Amino acid sequence: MSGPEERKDYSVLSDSELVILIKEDDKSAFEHLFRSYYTPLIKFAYRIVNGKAPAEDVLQEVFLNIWENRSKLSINSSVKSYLFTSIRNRALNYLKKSEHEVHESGYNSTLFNIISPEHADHELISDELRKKINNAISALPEHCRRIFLMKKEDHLKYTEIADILGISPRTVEVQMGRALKKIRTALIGYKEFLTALFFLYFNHWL
Amino acid sequence: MEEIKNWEILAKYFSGEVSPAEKEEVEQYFGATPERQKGFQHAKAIWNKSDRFTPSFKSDIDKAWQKLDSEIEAVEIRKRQTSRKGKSKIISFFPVGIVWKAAAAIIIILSAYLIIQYTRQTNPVPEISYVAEQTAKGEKQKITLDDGSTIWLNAASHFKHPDKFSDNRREVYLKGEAFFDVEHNPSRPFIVHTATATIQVLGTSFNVKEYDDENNIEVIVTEGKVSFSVTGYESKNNSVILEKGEKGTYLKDKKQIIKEAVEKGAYSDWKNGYLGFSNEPMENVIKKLERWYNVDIRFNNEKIKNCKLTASFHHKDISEVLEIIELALDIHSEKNEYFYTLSGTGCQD
Repeated sequence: MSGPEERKDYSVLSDSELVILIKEDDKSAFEHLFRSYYTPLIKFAYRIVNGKAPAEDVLQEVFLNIWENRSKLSINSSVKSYLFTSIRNRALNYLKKSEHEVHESGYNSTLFNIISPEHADHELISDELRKKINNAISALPEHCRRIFLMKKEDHLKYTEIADILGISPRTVEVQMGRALKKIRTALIGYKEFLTALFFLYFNHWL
Repeated sequence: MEEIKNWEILAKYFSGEVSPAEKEEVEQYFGATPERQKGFQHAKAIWNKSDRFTPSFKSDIDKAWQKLDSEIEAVEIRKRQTSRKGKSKIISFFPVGIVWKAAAAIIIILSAYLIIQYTRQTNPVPEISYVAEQTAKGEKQKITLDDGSTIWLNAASHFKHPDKFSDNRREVYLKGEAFFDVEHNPSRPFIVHTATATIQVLGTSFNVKEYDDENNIEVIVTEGKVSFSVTGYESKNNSVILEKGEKGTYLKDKKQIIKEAVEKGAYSDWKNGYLGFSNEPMENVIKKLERWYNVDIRFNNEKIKNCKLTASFHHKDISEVLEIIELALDIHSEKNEYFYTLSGTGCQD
């Protein structure tokens, strides 16, 4: 399938270099960009639209749009922020349009939940802890939780989070501190927490 | 007790966003007393364990790229077509936002291969235009085909069929679950393709189920006779004939088809709102409930998956269903904002 011509190694190129190539109609560069950002972006979209299929659609639409309008592409921030912001905008749009389609009132559910293997029996205590923490995260104010998850799950930098959400980096700092504090507070008085901590220390030192 | 005054800097520290000076500051402060050390460790434990809030899911990058690539090509071809016709305006057929509707939500998919053939104008191939329907979770849809056959499409399923059937066969594509009521026509066999199976009929009523996230493919016949075959490398036990009242189950991991008689009402007459389980492992029950009610259900104890449920529900909501399951299997269910959690002792394998 591969031709006799030299194949470029796109993995050595920076995001902005890829964008330059894309503007020059390099479809392989576009494919490379798509593949390298696919997983973090789909997870990000999934959290907003609460579904695998709509998340995939959002990604398709955003990337199709990028390719269609590649000649006019002008990215001022980092390419990463640009992509996340585009996904966020498109995902929020999707939510707006399909608002009447949400079946459970105010309760966003998920598709294709695959139960992660960390529920193995020997980790029962740490699993309990995780469950409590997840409940505490659910209880965070929306804006605070959003920022916290963008850091913890999407692994975005503070400045990137600020960029994408259109807020100041200072706000990100404040919200992150708030999140950590609130979760910690939620776990006070949880008697097994101390036992769990003991096991964690133990595992750490083994 | 509250030894931590500055949560912000601690969060920055864990995030790796501190300057070297700030890092020094944090380490000095928290290393100073055993109390502060303890506080630090507590916070660290929380930080480490808070990265699995959103459930994980599988998504195929290759498939996604192929889909995007073919959409790009389709748009290119359309552009060339319209420009060739001298039109100055490019008409885009792509729905900007895809909204799931309870009534017929029709997405027109044109076979990329056929479009390319058509525009090259080498051998004019009769264009088959397909119509596709997709149901979301919690949705069902009834579809009538060109030949009068009726299909009921269950939740979270995808069904593709030609606008007009060809003269010698009727071929359709299914991902998920559907009930078929096929018009009898010996000269035009009706063929259902799922991801791995092919079901061929002359005219009959049957149910087909193949979901990506399940290990088996099931075909249940309520009227008539079907041939159920699975494409694969090994040809042993890969094709059976099923008659009225029989069920064929193909186990993907064991690569064989099992044929058995099925009691009336033991399977889900879902198109009429009945949800039925006959000695079904909770693992599958949960998947069905998630699709049917569009919810997310988790287990606290993996052994619960092994428990078997025999029950039938008619027009019940999820909380009623869970109440019944709780009683039947000695399980407890809890709900938070995002999902249900089932806990209990579970059952043996």
